[in-house]
Amino acid sequence: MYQPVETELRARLTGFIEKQTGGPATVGELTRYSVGFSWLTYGFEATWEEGGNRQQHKLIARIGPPDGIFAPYSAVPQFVALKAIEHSGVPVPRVYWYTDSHEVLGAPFFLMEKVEGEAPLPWVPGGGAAFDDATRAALGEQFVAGLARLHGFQWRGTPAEQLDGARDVSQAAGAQIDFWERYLRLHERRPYPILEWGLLWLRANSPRAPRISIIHGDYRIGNFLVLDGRISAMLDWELVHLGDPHQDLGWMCMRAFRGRSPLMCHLVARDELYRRYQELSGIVVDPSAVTFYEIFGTFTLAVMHVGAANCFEGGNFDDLRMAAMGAQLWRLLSQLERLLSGEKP
Amino acid sequence: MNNSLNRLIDGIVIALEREIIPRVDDAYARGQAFAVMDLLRNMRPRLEWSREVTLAQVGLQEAALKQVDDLCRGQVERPPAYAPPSAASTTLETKELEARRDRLEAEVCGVLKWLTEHRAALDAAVAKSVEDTLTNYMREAVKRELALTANPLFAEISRGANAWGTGAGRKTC
Repeated sequence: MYQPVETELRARLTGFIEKQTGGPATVGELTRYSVGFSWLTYGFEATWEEGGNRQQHKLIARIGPPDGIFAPYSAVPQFVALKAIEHSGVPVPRVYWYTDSHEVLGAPFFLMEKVEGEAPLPWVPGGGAAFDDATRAALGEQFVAGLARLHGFQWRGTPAEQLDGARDVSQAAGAQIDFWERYLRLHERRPYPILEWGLLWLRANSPRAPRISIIHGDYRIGNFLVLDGRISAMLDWELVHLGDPHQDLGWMCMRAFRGRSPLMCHLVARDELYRRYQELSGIVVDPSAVTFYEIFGTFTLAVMHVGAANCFEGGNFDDLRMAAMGAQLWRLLSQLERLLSGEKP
Repeated sequence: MNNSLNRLIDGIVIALEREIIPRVDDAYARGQAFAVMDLLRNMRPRLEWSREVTLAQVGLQEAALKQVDDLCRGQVERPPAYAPPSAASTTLETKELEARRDRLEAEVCGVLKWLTEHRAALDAAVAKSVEDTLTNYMREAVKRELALTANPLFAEISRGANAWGTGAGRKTC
């Protein structure tokens, strides 16, 4: 299991920053964060020289472990996406440097600004409200506006052109289905008929995208930070790609991120989401395409659970959270079965 | 469950040994954790996943596949032939039983694919009955597994704490 020794990690990060800046650097004590089921996250304070001025910043290192749930990792998609949209109005942390080489830390990684804030989680005790009305309204507006800005971003001619995904509106859904089928085949240790049913259904019902946008891929409650009643950053861009904007809308509408709440991601009613998103983005929302991507999202979340169980079973990744995810696969399969049977999302 | 029992026990022991015990300050609590490790190691060679659960699922699979076979009798297009197993499931060792379950799951997947590809050539009522048979099987199988699945502790896992507090967890980018 990939588990870097802190003293060595600090020394290697120091050397990496010195190489990037061409001058002396320091890296302070590391804090390992327990969040995230995929990339390893370390926080630290760093200093370096830039144009003769001393810089001092709180940074985050995100490291893609060799045996993680989405291995083999590349830091490129997250880095180029975040770099491209840095000034787009989508609240994101500033990224500094990255490498996919294993020479520095034994794994791909990138460094970015540490943004302050707390992450509200999708799991609310007793199924109650996650926010008071005023907070919910403010966060909901910002949450929808951020997505509208992301989807309206003109990515052509920016570093985001390097992102994987579809360039053809007729291929957006198919490219994603292919991607997740490959992932399933890589990780399944036994057949799951509901997932096969899901694949057949998805291939038979793929919508045409209204346009090709940058898709966050995991845009939901739990993946943003809140500071003083405002979203300070959207996080966890590891599934970023080019595709159909309905994919992010469908994902944020999934039951997995709202439980019994009638509010999508505990923030906004479905009708209001469609109306406001359309108003802000200019992209006409097709409710049937959102439903397709809700079913697709439930399928992919289930497939991620298969992947988590397999990463653990393989013996090189001892993170028990992976096994705990795997144990919950049936919950996702049950949701998928109901959706495929025609239950309204 | 989607992991083998032995791997889960090994993983729990590793987590206790490497991640938990070194960070527990209280000696009594550490002693309890070592006792858990000791017990798990002793339980490991004596445990297996419930035979009854797997046996029940295999029974559902066999019934569904046989029903599909009966429904398609007389149709021009027929699904991959279902061959009832020669040995009764009850006589199988647990590992053999799990292998049979997986083989039958693959057969169910095969019939689903066949139905999608040949639906137009089938009598509509037959196609609907086959579909209902398969979906009923899948629904029942997942219902039984779900009945054995405890509510997830994802919030606690993400926070590293079991206090619900305000609903906001610590996270950083």
